[in-house]
Amino acid sequence: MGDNAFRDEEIIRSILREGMSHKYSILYKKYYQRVLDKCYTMVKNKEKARELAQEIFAKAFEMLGTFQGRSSFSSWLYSITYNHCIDYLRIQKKISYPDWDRDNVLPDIFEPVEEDFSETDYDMLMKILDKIHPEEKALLLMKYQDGISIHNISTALRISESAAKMRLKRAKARVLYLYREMKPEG
Amino acid sequence: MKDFLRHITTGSLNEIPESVLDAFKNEFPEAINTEWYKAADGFEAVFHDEGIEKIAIFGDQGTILILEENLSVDSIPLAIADLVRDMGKIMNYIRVNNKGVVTFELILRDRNWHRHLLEVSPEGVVLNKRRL
Repeated sequence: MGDNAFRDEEIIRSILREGMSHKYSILYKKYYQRVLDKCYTMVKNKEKARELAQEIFAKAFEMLGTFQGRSSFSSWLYSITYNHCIDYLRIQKKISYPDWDRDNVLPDIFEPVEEDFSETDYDMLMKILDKIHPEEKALLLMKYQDGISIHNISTALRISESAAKMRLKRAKARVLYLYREMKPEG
Repeated sequence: MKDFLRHITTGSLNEIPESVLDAFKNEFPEAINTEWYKAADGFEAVFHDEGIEKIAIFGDQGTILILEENLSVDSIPLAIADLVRDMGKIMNYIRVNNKGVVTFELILRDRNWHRHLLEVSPEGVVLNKRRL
């Protein structure tokens, strides 16, 4: 854990032990934009993303006593972020993952090679991620963008660790398939 | 961004004992997309086989200890389908073979949108249940 994480933990300790709740604003200012960006990536609506980000910081404050420092504060906060966004999408969109997965069977599963993504840019990756189910997108972002552990991913998405590993596997196969479908002819 | 993508194409562990690799190839000759991880009691392979995701845990000598298969919700045995019919919607269904003992891991969503993890025997007996 780096110095940055230690500073976050000091702030949390002073909030919890000394009742200095005003110090939460330091964490809010530091992480608000990143939380907002993640919310927008998940819900694709700026107003709703702002609303969710506010709710997430309120929820995280209420849950601060459960933060045990096993992971960094940022990983903990981002887990809450994805959990909150996925809960919102599960209820609003009413598209359950098993139904979506049944309707979007992978036509083919490839053995990946590193060169596969040599021509990919940010926009193309976002297009690919927008084509997959939000739960698969959240899994990929949590694991490979934010480095959140499988245990914490499974807790955030309320699935078992085995289910998280298997869905992550399927998500990776789907991204690879879509990339090959969408990449420009070379 | 390239790092994000590179992770999608690469596994995380390269040094797997020959005995484990041989056992894996022998047991799952058609496996693709295999990623290896160190498990508490051996080595864990996460892979695709026959179009589905599987997790196999091998002991250091190449003995397969646990095999988990991510099965279609439609393929659930009748005894288990009957058991959970009024409990909620099945969100995930995994067959677990732990040293020859078969159980099923189900994730259910109840009518209040709460999720539950159930371990069920092939005869439809709930062995463990907890809210997720």
